[in-house]
Amino acid sequence: MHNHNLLTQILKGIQSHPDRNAFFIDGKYHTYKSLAKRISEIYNIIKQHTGPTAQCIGIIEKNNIETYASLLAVLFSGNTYVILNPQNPNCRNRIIVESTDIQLILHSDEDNCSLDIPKYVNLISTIDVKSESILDKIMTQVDSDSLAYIIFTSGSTGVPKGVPISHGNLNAFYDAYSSLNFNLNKEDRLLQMFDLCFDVSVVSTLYPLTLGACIFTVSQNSVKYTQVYELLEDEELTFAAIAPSLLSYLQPYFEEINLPKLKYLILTAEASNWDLLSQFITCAPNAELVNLYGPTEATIYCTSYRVNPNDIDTYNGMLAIGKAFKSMHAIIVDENLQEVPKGEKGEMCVAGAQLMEGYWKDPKKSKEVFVELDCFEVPTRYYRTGDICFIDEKDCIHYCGRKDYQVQIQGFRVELNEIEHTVRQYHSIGSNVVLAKPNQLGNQELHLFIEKYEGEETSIIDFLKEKLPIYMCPQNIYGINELPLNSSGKVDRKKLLELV
Amino acid sequence: MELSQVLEEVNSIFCKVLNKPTIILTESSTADDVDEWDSLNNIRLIAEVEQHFKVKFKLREIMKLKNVGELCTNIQKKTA
Repeated sequence: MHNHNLLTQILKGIQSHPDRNAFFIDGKYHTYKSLAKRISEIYNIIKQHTGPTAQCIGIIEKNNIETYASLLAVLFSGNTYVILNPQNPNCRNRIIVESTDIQLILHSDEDNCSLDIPKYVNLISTIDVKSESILDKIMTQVDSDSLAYIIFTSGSTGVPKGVPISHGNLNAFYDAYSSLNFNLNKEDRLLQMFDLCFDVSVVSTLYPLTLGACIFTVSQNSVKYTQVYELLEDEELTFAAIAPSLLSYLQPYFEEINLPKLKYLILTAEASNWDLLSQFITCAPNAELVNLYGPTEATIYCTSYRVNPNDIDTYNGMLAIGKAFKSMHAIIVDENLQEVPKGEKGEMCVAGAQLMEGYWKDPKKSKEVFVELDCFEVPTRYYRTGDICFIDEKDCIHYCGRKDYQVQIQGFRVELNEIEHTVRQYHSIGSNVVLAKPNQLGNQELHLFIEKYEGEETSIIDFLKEKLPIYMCPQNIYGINELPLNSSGKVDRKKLLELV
Repeated sequence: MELSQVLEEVNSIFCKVLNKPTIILTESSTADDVDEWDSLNNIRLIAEVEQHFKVKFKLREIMKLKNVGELCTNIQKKTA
């Protein structure tokens, strides 16, 4: 029987493949044997500086082997890792350190770490620590309630929200993810392009290690899309999870791209536009496309949709998000939290073993997002995703947009995605985003940001007027070379709003 | 065109696109040296450079550019 303890499987992967490559970072390979040594060294440091009670340990993110080994050492030690991104404003990192009561921070800077860290925190460099591998002595039977990591996401009030994910959550995720039956083994070469403060990095890093496969990382500081393309093509990667925006950056060059070795392309982190993907398919003729959806609160991914190019399920041009993972249940509810019939839109709520217990030290916020619903004749705890979805006749879930992207214009309910979709019918090169912002009179005004559009404003407005009710036509149109992205690779709507 | 002249013109394109008049590029400058130089701005910079010098870059050429000096040498070759 398959063992669903992720840490045990990682340890087994590391020990069974000493001479194979575990990581390819910045042009250099690192074997499993050298990874094991690194983890052991950092594990020893952690044990010297921590007591028997689990605690949060900060890791300052860098694209190097020490950072990845630190993450694994913290997990093996039964403690909780919290990533601190040096690109973040100092005050944000400080809030994270203070709210998680971090006493120990691991860094891998050659010089002293430049972060503004409270004086009481033990700041330890993981470079040049020497000790023998003790991985065979490590116990991986960590209590399933203990926390594996806390990821901080932006909070609506401006203070970052901590999402704590337990080993139990992670094991449930691993079990379900393994059941997707990707045909992968130790020979595979997998991409890890996400910042470590974004949770897709967790699966992109941990899962390949269970197979004894090699992970190819991308540096966070410079130009990502060219690095990703370079790895995909030159290193002949076989598996890549990416944000669809990355493909839109590469779109002008699709004719040059040839990735016959790519077996799987995972689309995640944002809605996937089928127009763009269908153009990309010729670049990766042997790749299966899989759309994976999930809020951080439900551990990385919780629904999956495997694309069959001959039978595509889309809504407003966006790929379906498919069906719930095996340990999860998804329902669509109306404003009164009543389940809606098939085909009707509502907010998606998810329940199951991948759900976090609650936001870190924020019972008020937790209370807002959790709700008890009697779906199985017993009250079950559901997480309200804030995502508007519907389930079609084939039991396939479709994502229609964020609850908060749905706006009221002159009393009419408007889905901004619908406008974006209509704009794409007129101008299919690149992406577009529609935002609503109250004007001086407090009325919502629609703003359309459109990539690579050189035509007249009036001609696009005339087209939209033909397709949409007048109240859905944007008042302002901005041509933009590329839509800005945030650190998670999603379109940065806040930044766009600032331009208005 | 002299390399120094290409560099000067590339420098003013960077200042304009990144909206930062204080940028001073050298041949060894890379994306790590300029805070605003990310994926999004790289696309804008390349587009502006292509338009200004009336040249076209392939993705593979962009990918192989390790610093500003290599970008300038490439422009020089293409405009020769």
